[in-house]
Amino acid sequence: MQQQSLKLTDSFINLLVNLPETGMGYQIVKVVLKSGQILHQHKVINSELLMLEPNEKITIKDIDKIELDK
Amino acid sequence: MLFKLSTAQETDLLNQPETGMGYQVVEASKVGNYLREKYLVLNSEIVIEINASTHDNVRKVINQGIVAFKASASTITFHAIHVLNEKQFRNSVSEPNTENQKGATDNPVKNATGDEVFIRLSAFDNDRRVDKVKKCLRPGAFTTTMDDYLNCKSTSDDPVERYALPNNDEIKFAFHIQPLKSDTLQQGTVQPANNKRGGGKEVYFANGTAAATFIKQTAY
Repeated sequence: MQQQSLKLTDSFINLLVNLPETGMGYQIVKVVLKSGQILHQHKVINSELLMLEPNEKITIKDIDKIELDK
Repeated sequence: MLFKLSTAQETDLLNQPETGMGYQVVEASKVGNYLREKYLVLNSEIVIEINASTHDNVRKVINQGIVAFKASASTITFHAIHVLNEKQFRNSVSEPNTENQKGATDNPVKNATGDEVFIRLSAFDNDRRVDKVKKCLRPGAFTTTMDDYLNCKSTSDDPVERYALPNNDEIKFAFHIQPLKSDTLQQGTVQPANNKRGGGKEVYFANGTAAATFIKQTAY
């Protein structure tokens, strides 16, 4: 099954482009939602595509901030 | 390197359990040498040294066929062969202890030689780590080595597995980077991640590369 992804806004892309990669072409991030929920260990591809779990129904407007996750 | 076993040692290994389906991992020393090392033995007859080239060598044997490979291989003779069971083998590989076995960011920073070309593989023409205006690699970017890229292609390996990439998008582009001697890098081995095996070579550029080091883009 094709994994769903969310295209990030330019502001998030510019943020992530200036942070180091985890591996070739991807970063592991923590996504903080405006609801307060935190999504750990999510992957962003090419600093622009946030990969979502199958049951995750979020939109770009739901995201407060994105940070690198360890 | 790759070898074949003598008939006597093939029989010896056939009488011992496998480590996994179709293979045994053995600890042994070569005749005349007291150093014990680990080897992968396929079908109780083909011996492959366990190092960064193991996956490539397994692929070589599979592509050539065991019979054809044995016809041209040198014979290796061991003494004191000990076959590892699966648990023993997994415990023995859980702690990478040489620079070559660790991920790039766990290894020392060194300067580029100035004449080596590295390859960044991507599913994206607009790969955001490649600055096509300044023609350089942005800071915090990974590449692989030219050798590893060519090995991946020549052995028909899957780059998504080899470089442990999280998505299954087809790798379409290769960005060729030739850093200057003033650029710094760290080299290592891709660790298993994202349910992928890794094992490819990776090179990390914490500070990116100087302008005009992105020399060309080709199809994968």
